[in-house]
Amino acid sequence: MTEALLQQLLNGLSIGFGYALIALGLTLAFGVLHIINFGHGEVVMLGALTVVMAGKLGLPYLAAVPLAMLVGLLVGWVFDALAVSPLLRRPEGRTDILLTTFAVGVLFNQAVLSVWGPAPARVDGLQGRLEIAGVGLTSQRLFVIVASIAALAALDLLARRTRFGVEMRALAQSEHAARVVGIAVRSVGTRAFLLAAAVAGLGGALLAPITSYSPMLGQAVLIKAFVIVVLGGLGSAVGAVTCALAVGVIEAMLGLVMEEGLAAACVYSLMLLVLLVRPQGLAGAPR
Amino acid sequence: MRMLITAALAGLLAAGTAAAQEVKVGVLYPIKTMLGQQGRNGAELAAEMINANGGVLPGRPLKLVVYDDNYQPADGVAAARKLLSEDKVPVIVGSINTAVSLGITQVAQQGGAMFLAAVTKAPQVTDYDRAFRFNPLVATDGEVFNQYLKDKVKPQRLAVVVENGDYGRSIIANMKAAFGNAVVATELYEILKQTDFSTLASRVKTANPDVVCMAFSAPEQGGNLLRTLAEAGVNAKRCILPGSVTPALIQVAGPAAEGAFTLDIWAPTMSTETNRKFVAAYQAKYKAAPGKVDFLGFESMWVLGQAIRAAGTATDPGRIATTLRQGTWDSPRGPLKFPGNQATSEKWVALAVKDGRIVVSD
Repeated sequence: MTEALLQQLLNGLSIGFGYALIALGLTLAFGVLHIINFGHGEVVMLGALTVVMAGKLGLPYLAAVPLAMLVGLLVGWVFDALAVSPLLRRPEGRTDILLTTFAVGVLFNQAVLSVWGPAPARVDGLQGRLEIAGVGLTSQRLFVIVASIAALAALDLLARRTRFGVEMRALAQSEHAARVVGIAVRSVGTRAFLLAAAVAGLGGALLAPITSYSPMLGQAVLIKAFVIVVLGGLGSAVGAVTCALAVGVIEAMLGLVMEEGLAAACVYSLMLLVLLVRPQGLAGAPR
Repeated sequence: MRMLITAALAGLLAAGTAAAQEVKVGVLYPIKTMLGQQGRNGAELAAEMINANGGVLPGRPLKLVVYDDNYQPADGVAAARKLLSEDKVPVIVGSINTAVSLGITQVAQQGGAMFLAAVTKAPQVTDYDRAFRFNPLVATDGEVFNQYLKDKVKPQRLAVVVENGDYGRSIIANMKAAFGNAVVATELYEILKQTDFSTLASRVKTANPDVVCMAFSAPEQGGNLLRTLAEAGVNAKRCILPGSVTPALIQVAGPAAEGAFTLDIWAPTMSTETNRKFVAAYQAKYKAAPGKVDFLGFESMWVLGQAIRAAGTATDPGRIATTLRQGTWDSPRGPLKFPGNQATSEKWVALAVKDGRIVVSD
């Protein structure tokens, strides 16, 4: 029984770290710009598609991972140019961004469908598997955990130690105050959005060997990411990461004793409960 | 002025006859998905081959009107209504999902149209006498498959892994009835939504089966499932219920698909003349080998073409339906009859994955 629990803990953690990167991008865009990016899932899908394509061209998986971040960045730039920046200039534009990002997401999804079709594809990530005391972990899952921790640490460093990070946090606290002290609010906001997209691309590249690539991948992960972000508190990075890990582990553990559909329903019930009794999320500031 | 009007009228009339010459047939698949595209590819290839052979009625080619049912009953019903009211088709062909095909059956029945359910296994479809099912019922699959398992594989500890829906749950009921206490684990996963199978694989491993039976409708999920089972160290024989061992599955699963086996109504290697023609034309058109859904998409349209030709009408769905029910038709899987509106052929083939290819085993 302990073996099974330990095994599920590892499985849950590896998938939870994947969720964390995806949820972090969402919450970053909300925290800094106060917008919800409904096309975020498609950026993840394009990150996964990048490693598929790179594999077909003979590029090793590890080399394709940074490429997926770059693709995420570029796609983020398109999202920003079409669906975010033009609306931020309007006084009441923020709520419309929900719809414009959704529209651009659909455009990307349809473009992928018409160019590459709906066929799924396997991604051969890192090969091999570790086995300790009856508990196994594939190298790819271990890599997801390690790479996610590294990425999260790098992001934390960026937020605390760089000028951009400080400006970003200032903007998150109060746009008005940030403007008063001379921060280029527009440009910092755009860069934060691009950063979120690059992280989404990374998330797609890391998850692809586990989940396989499919054009539907974006929609499948987006819902989960939203649940996590709402649980953690919209805009809270710490909340997103801890709740992502918690959701991954809870789902895996519940999966031991019940059907996975029911396990997912439990997580959604948790979200409902949080929204009812603590609407700012578990780690969010009261509002 | 008068001449102008006459010319315009003549033009309209000419356009009218040109349109009337084509025999329109409605096609509904979830075309944004892998399976839906396969069904559509098969149907389009059949129409092309029928038209290259002179069409369905003297001088009248088939024209397919294709809409997306999006795996959603509401979308399927809306599209079926549009096909009957605006496109005025006498026949609707296609549909994969059970709920969608039930919706289409209802719309067809209200409009008196014919419905050829190409891929769905829903039993209720044929309650309507102008609706025909091409894929065998789950119960039929089960009977043939369980007999094969009992005769050849003889499972002692059987794990059943299926998608959470009508289809999956009926398989579990079937297997429990056939194997009783030998069924040591039953697992359900969420259709399309589930991307990680590690928890499920751990549970299967704990049950320690000697045979794992699986069914899935999305190859990305089936492929992931096979890979995750292998990663978790499940060494049982893996059998897959009819219809899911496809090139796409092997592409996603990779080496993890090796040795998996299945039984089916059709295989690309079957040696009928029509099958050879179908497989060759499919390869030429789509640069890939056809799978089961491509075959069903093809077969339903191919048989419809013959039935319209034999009935001699494209406007009387009742007569086409009666003709179809009474005749014996040519299909890639051999001669096909429709007792109780169910497509039925004599032969089933045993298939296995070997060196990344689907081969006929014994």
